[in-house]
Amino acid sequence: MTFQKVTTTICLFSIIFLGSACKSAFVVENVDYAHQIESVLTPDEDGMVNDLRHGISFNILPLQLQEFGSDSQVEIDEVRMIRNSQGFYFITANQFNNVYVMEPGQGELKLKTKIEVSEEGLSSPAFNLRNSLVQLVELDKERVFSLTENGIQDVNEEEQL
Amino acid sequence: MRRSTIFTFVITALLLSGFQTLKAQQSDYQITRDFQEQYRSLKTTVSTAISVAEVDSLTDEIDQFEEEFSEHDTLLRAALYPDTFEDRIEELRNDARAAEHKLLIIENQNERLSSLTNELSSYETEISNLNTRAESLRQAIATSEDSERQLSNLVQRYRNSMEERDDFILTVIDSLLITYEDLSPEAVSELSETESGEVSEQNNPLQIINSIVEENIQRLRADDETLTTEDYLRMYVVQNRFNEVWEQIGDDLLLIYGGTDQSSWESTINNNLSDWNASASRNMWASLDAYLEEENVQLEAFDNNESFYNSITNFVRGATEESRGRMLRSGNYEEFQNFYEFWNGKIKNDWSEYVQEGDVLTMSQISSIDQEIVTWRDEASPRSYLFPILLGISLLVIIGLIILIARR
Repeated sequence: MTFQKVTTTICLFSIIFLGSACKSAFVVENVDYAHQIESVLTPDEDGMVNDLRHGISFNILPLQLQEFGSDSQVEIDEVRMIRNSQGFYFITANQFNNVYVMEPGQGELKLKTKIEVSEEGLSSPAFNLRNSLVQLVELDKERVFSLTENGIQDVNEEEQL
Repeated sequence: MRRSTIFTFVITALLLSGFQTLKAQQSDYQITRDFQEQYRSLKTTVSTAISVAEVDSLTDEIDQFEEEFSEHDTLLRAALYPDTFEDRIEELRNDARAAEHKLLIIENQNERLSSLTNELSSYETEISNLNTRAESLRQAIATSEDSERQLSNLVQRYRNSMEERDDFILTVIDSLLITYEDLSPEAVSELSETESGEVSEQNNPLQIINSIVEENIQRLRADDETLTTEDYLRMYVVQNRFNEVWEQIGDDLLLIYGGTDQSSWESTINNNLSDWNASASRNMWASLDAYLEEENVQLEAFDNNESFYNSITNFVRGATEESRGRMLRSGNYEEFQNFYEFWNGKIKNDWSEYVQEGDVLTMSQISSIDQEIVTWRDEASPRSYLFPILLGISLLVIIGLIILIARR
C-alpha cells in the first residue's frame, strides 16, 4: 500500500467517525416502563384485545396459534399482560404452558423469549410486579415464578437484585 | 430422555432455585378488583340506606374496609389513579355522613307526621263531638217550649259550641301548616314514597281535610236563625284561613298522600273548598246586610269587600251632604250616632278581628271611611245659637245706650 493510499484511507475513516459523532441520538436514560398492575383483557370475536389504560391493542390469535397450534379449538377468555421496567411485555393466559416475553417494535410485538412455566397448562395465572421484577403467580397452586425478559429468574440472581 | 422426564427435571430444578412456594398468594389485579367491588357495594348500600341505624352499621363496615385494604395503599394508589385509596375512603365516609343527615331529617319528619296523623285522628273525633253537641243544641232550640230566658241560655250555649268548633278547626289547620310548610322538594319526594302506601284511608290527612270541608258546607247550608253576624264573620274567617293553608301546603299533601288518586283528590277538595267559600261568603254578607237593616242603616246592595266599602262610603258621603243642606236646622245627628255606633262599636271593636282577618274591610278602607265619618260628624253636630244671641243682645244694649245718650 502506498503512502498516498494509506493517507486517503485514514482521511475517509476520520470523516466517517466525525460524521457518526455528529449524528449521535439524544437519549433519556433510566426510563421505567413497568406497569404496577397487570392488565386482564378480554378478546373480542376477532381475537383483538384493547388495553385502554396503557394504550395498546393487539391480536391474541398469533399467540394462541403459537401456543396451541392451528388445529386447536381452545378459546381464550382472558389474556393477562404486564410490562417490566425494561419495556418488555409478558403475556399469558389460562391453559397456556408458556409466558411470552414480547419486545415492542414499530407496529409490532416481537418475541423475545418464550418461558415455559407449566406442562399441563396454567389454570389461574396472575402477574404481579415486585421490586421491579415480574412475578407469575399460580393462585391455585400457590407458586410464584420471578421472571425477566430472559427467562425465570434464579433465586440467587434475584437476591443480588 | 422423554420430554415429560425432562420437564419434571426442569421443574424440580426450578423448585430448588427459580420459584418460591408461598402461602396465600394474591393477585394484585384481584386485590384491586375486590377493592372496587366492595367500594361500589358499600357506596350503593350507603345511598339506599333507609335508617340511621343502618348507616351507623355501614360506618363500621367502612372502618373494616379501610383496615382490610390499608396495607395495599400503594398498589391501590396506582390502580385508582388519579384517585387514591384515602380519597375513596373519605368519599365513602362523606356519603355516609350525608345519608345519616338526610335520614335524621326524614326520621324526625316521619315522627312529626306520625304524631300529626294521630292528632288529626283525635281532632276528627273532637270535631265530630262538637258537631253533635251543636246539632243537638240547635234541635233543642227549634223544639223548645221553655221560657225566653231558658231559650236564650240554650242559644248562647249553641253559639259557644259553634265558636269552640271553629277554633278547633283553626288549630287543626295550623298544625297542618306547621308540619308541612317547610318541607323541601326532596323530603316531599321521599315522603310520597314512604307515606302514600302506609297511611290508612281513615287517617289520610286528605280524607280528614275533605270531611272538615264537607261538614262546614252542610253547617252553612242549614238555615240557622240562631247564629249572629259575628258567628258568620268567624266562619268566613275560618274558611279564608283554610283556603290560605290549602294553597300553601295542598300540593305537597297531594304528592305525599294522594298516591295514584292525586288528581281526583285535588279536584274533590278544590271543588268543595270553592263551595264552602261561596256559602261562607254569601251567609256572612247576607247576615251583615240584615244586621244593618235592623239597625236602620240603609246601604246599597253589597256582596263583597269592594261593594261593601263603596256602599259605606256612598252612604256616609250622602249623609254628609244631607247634613250640609240643613244649615238652619239641627243636622241628622241621630242618624250619625246610629251609624257611628255600628261603625265604632261593631266594625272597629266587637268584630274588628274578623273584619281584618277576613278582609271584610282592609285597614286602608277603614281609615278612609274614618275620615269621611269625621266630616259627617262635623256637619251633623247640633249647632250652638249662643253666640248669635249674645251678639244680638250686645247690639241691642249698644243701640239702647246710644239712644239714651242722644236723649240726654
